[in-house]
Amino acid sequence: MRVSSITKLGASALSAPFVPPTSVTHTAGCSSLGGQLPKTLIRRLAIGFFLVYLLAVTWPVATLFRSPKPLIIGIPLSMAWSIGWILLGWVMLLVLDWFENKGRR
Amino acid sequence: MVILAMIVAYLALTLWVGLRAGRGTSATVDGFVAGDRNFGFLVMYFVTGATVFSAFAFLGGPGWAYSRGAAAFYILSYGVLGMAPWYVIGPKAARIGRRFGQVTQAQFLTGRFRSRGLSLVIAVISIAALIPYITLQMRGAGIVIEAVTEGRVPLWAGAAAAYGIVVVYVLISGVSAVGWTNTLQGVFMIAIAWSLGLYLPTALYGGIGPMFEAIIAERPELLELPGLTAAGQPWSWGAYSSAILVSAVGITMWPHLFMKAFTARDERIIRRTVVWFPTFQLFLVPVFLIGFAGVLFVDSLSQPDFILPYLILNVELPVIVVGLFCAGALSASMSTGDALIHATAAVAVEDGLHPFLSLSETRQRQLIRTFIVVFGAVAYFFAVTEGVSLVVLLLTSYGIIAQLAPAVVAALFWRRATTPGVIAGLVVGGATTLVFFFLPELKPIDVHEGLLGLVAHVLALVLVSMLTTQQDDAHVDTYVNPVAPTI
Repeated sequence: MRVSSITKLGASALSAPFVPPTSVTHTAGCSSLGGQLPKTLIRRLAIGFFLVYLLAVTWPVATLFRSPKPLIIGIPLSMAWSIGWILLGWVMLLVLDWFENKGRR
Repeated sequence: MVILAMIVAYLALTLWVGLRAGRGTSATVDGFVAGDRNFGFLVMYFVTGATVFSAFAFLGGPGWAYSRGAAAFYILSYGVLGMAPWYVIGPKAARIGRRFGQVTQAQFLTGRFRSRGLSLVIAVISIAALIPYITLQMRGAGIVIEAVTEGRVPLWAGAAAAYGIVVVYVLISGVSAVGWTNTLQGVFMIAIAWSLGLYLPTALYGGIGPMFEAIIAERPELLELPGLTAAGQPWSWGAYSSAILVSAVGITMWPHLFMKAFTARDERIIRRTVVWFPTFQLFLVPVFLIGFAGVLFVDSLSQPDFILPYLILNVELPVIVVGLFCAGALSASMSTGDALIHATAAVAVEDGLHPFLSLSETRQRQLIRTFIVVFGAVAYFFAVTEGVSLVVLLLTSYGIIAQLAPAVVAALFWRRATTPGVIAGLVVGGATTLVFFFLPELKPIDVHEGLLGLVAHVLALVLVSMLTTQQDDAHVDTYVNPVAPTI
């Protein structure tokens, strides 16, 4: 049953006019495909990162960092937690932008 | 006398920059409202940062840290979260705006969801939200000048002087004045906030670490998340978390910020502005340090927002530092106020009148200028008259402004969204927010009323859109898949 459906698919594919895959038509060819993959990955990573960021600074995850102690470089933990996420957010945006520009260049 | 001279010098410098900024801009609505879409990175960076951080941040930020402690950290948390989606939405909105000649948020939304009624609703919401905001900035400027001159320049005169100058440069140079003065004011704000934020804890406690150790020893509850309410009771996690969520959703939806997407020279500049925004967000760190410096130094202040002027005047600071503080606070107030006045007038004409009346370019510019004076006068009237709590009005308007977010996201990403769906969402979301604001006892859970409004909004938007006729594919494509710019 399975063999016959594969044969059918194969036959119809062979009889259809040849349409080159979209990526092959790009002038950049393989390098474009290679550039696209990490870019998509980074975009997903960025979305995931900012969702984690939201979870980290709100209930219930933020309750784990509610205490002012210990002081981190003189700053209470509860405040340093928010500042730390701003810095991480900045790094994430820099990475995202670097990959986005790499694609454009 | 030295302080007064510094204030005059600062205001003169701002006026000079504002007046020079308009040279070279075209005499069109595009030039006056969108700066001929020619803002570079430096100006966009400061316009975004200085517009977000207003007198409310410069005076209210230390006030929150002083009176509500860790509750203030919600302001630290939402900025970057709220700006990150702008990396995608901003350039896309700019591309569509450039193609269709849009200069306001309502024009952008009604380009996809064609309805003059929708344009009017957005104009009314925007103006109602923006006027209390302008008033707060004016009061902030007046209070600072009155405080540092020890009453020799009263609030009404200080607000009139600072905002008289704002109105003059916005009238003459339009959004270009907003851009260049914000650059100057942004530099002032950052430099002064960091200087005072590091200086005050050192002068009063011997350093930042010793300051926090002393506060933890005396009042540990103040620094524990989620902080305190205005009445000094523990704040709830629901209210803290939903304040972050609603503010993050609403931050880029304020018309005076959203409209700046149309001023950028190219999409790359908007992306870079978002990438570098966290560096501006860190400006809040010294602002909070100033507030915390007052905790053990000042017993109890009836109006916590005055903690910064109070400290400045009661700690024996060199006169030049007091003058610089004044310039910093005026910068924070005026850099937001000018963008607000300009946006309110542009929205009134472009979204409230233009869809219903045939207006030439010249007539539109004339009307925008007239409304700059009118709205400036209305806000000034409220600023010098005690009455309705403006902070209350502003907090409500934040919940309402956030209601524009689902419409913007639907316009750019959801093919199935329809005009009746968007109108239903705005009406239901706005009404829900207002009901829970005025009747908080009806809230099912202790969260920001804007969040409940957003939930109701999304449900109405989806339901009504699914029940009404889908938009034409080619029309939807102009928003969902806008043509990339040719270079």
